[in-house]
Amino acid sequence: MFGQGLLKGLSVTGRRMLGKTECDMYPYRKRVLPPKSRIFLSMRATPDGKALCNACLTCQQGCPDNVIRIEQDPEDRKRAVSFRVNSGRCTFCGICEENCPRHALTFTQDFERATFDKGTLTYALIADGTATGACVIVERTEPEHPASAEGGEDVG
Amino acid sequence: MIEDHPRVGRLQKDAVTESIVLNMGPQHPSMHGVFHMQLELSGETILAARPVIGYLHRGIEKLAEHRTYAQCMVLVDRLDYISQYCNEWAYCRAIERLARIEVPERAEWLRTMYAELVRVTSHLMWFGSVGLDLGGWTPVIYAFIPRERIFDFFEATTGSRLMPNYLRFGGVKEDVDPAEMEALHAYLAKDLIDALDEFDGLVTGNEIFLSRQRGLAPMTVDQAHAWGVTGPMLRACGSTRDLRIDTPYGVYDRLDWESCTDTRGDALARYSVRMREMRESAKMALQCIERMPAGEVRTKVARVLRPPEGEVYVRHESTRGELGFHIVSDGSPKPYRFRVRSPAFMNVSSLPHLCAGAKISEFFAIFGGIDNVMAEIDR
Repeated sequence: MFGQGLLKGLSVTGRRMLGKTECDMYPYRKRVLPPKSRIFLSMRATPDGKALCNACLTCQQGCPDNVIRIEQDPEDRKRAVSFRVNSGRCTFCGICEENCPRHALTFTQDFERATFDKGTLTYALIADGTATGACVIVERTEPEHPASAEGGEDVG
Repeated sequence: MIEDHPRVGRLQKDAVTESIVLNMGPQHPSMHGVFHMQLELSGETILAARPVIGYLHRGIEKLAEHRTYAQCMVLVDRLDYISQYCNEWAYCRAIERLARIEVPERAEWLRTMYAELVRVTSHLMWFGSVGLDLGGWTPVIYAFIPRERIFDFFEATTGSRLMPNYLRFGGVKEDVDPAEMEALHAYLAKDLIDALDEFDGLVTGNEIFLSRQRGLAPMTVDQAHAWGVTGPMLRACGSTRDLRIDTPYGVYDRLDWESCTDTRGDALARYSVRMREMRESAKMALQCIERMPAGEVRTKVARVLRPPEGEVYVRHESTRGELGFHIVSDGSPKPYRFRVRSPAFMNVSSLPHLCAGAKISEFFAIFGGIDNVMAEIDR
């Protein structure tokens, strides 16, 4: 009979109308993102402001989009004087976090960083040799895992 | 009757309608991205159609020549952003064949599972947009409910909803949490099937939908082969071509499933094939979760890969058809040539033939069945 399919479709929408809401009521209720979500790049640092980074430049050289800029200390090349992230260029691929031999890099899940000023998208994780407020504070100073066993080499 | 008026009747009899050119897109809301179609019309009938592409050209093939093989994975995600895992897998298979890298057993199962899940999400996206093309707002809202649920799983396990960068040469990035896998199993076994039944009730039996799709833009197998059409569009013409069966890869040969085909070749057949494919893909993903062996998920591969000199072409059954990667290596860390055979590009090339003689309102019904992604066509 013509119209049977139409009525069935109407019954589907009617059921849904009386059923539970599927939406996230965003500004009122914020989603808690899973810990693996890659939102903003951050770095692990100790409470006294010492970042875990040893300025090996693996992340800077492996980054497909030149997001990371590291300045090494000329006297101690295992210490970063500055570590800047241009998140406006970042594609959130996570290659830097994966390659970091000291597991210093990590991603935070705070997603509310929209801005009207493109310049504020560049932020520092290390400035003047000390970790900034954008870092994640951890208690340990040594990496959890031994250095990456992949035996890789730097990008030429 | 107005035709009985002496003046009007004379005009109608002698009138020669001049054809007009109508530019559909690239900003038209029904054009699935920045697709531009020049339609030559006589009244409402389409005399000729010319697709104009290139608005989303980012030069991905050239960009890839300036990146290391691992960095190219980020670009590959952005080719067809609706079936990311299929793209990544095809690219990984090409490089693994070139560099002779073995893939652990569990990684193959994981890859198959993700590829089939993404086929479901891709077809859900298509289902929603077909509804929009035909003037119905409801399907797209409904289709996004299961799609978002599967994306939640992607986000929890790979870190990203759309651009996962999850597959690696010689495996996958990391193993999946068993709790997440269990939750997904429960979802696929019941809620997804319920949702697909709901969609069938909503659209598949709808008489207006059926009358607009049945017999529309028929295509024969010979025509499809001549135009290079692959994937669900080809299987809707009666062909059994499915690279998952013809050139088995992953664990498809160990799963219990069948390729969905139809013999009618019209727009309704294309709809029916994709709707059934979603169920088959959900079935395959379930089997993957149940039968997946424990073990390693990644082989150790140098961080900066230098495949030996040579070239490779790999064919892969993406959600839209045959996705091909032709990689030429000169032994350096970057590909010498990176070429993509895009299924959507070939499928869209059949559009001028399919819509010649159709009305404008039918054009969108035909176009929706092609399921193109401009990012992949323009690259």
